[in-house]
Amino acid sequence: MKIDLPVVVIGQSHTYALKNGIEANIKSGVFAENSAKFSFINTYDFADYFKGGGVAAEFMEKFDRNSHFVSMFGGQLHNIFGLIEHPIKFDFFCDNSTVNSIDVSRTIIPYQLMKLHFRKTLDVFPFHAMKQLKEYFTGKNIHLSSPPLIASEDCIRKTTVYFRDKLANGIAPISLRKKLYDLHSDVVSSACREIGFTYIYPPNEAVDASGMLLEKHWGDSTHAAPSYGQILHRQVLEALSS
Amino acid sequence: MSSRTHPYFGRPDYQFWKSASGSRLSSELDPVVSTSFRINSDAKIVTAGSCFAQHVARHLSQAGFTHHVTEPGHPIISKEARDAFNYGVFSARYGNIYTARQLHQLLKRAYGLFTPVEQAWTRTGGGVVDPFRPQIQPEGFLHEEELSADRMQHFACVRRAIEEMNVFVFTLGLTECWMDRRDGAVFPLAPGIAGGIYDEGKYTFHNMDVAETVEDMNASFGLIRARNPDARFIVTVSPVPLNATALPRHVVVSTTYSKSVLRVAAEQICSTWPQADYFPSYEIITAPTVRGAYFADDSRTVTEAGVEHVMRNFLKHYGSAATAPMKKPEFPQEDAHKTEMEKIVRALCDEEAISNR
Repeated sequence: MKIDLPVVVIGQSHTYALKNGIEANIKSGVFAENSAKFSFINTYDFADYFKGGGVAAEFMEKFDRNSHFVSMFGGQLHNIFGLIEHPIKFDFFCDNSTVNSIDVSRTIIPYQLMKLHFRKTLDVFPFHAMKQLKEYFTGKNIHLSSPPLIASEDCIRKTTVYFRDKLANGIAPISLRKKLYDLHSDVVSSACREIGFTYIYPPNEAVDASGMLLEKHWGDSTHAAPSYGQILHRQVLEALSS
Repeated sequence: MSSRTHPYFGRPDYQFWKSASGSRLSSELDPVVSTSFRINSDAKIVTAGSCFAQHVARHLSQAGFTHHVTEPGHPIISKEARDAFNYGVFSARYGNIYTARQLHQLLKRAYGLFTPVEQAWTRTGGGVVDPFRPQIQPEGFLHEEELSADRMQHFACVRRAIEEMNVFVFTLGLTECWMDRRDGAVFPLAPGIAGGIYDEGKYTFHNMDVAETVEDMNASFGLIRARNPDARFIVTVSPVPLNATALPRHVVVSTTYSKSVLRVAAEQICSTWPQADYFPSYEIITAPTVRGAYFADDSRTVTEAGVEHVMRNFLKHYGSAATAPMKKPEFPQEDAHKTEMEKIVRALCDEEAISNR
């Protein structure tokens, strides 16, 4: 499998799972080093070019237009909402989710309101930037889903550094976290259809029957391990060569 | 023999057309001559009523009053999105309450004294709407279960508003309504407009008269005072003409009937309840001295200048020395928890970048 055009991957911290996965695949001989030429950009390293939600033209011009574009943007919104319990505990009914349970003792936020908020937040960033980048690059455009959730609260407590101060609030129940993840994925996949990106769902082989990340792929509280990135690498190559 | 030569002798200027305020300059019109109480800036004001009441609610905070909002929506959701779903428009998310019957019904439902037969209307685009606030959210509810959960939460917020408020400002808007033949429940919109299916066998048109309006208002005030004995009331009548009439006559004729009923009912209610004042927002907007200047080009919508005139008089007569313009909202616009989580995620992503290199 050989990809002729360069591949530009832009996103945030989730890109490192793919980057490390590619290195691991090449090292172990799963894929040849010349199967594709990847470049990785973390937007936080170039924040000045991503002000106001869009992407500056002079930034895009640093890249060969004749490239494929892999988006790994905006993967944390569900965690901002519900990795750690909000002081005003909430829940919501979720359409298109595998979770049907609801805790009515919490504040119930209407589903359509949650969806509107997610959409408007993501419209500002990254959807606007994704549209611009799609216009710039002439190759294929794909978007990789956020990594699946880690169900284990124990793992989250042990691996988180940055959320540690907030842990006293408690970790949100997995049913709520899964609904937030499903809503997030639904909004992003819908937007991808609208703006012309192929949305790549998490690989089946990396999740259990409930859609949670298998333990062997756990990274830290909000990220998957390089082993997950190895599977993503294959998914990306397949999507770009199809 | 009295020195008065006739019964009008010595009466104040405001009782005479030529000398009353506004007779020379419409912007000076101030038909309020006394109020039975003042409202300090900490007093909790609950608002409800027709669409004109939305203007009143919006201006209260700006004028330095405390608009008591018990159902502001979850703060993790942006204010822009909550606004679109009608959170904070009124004290709780009940939407427009056009008739006195609707108010009475809401109070009874909130306290478990009445459960209408009609619980949900099917929405054309999918999902369901609340028959009693059919336009409360743009896309309706997912299903009856979600609507029911939201309604239970809403009723708790209504009860809190009633029990915690100091002043209740209610704007009477309409007399025409649509009623369920089975249990007398009234709807703010006819079935079939924003949900549901119009069925003559189930629903009927009803035009409230003075006696019915007074009875519903008396019952509402009685119910409120039973839960909150110190509550005071301000009753107003919306100056906004009817958008449509269900009766086979000109909409202007129906408007005159409706506003006349409401104005007479307001007079009777405020005469009955010593805790209730009538505030003449209807008169400020529609007085001949104003010459229709406070209606927009459609001759129906009240202009912002008109609303400001009403609220200027409201502040003048009900405000206290402690009432200061531009009071901060009761609920912060930005959610501290979410902002902090965003910072953490950002820091995490930054740090992650460093640690993986």
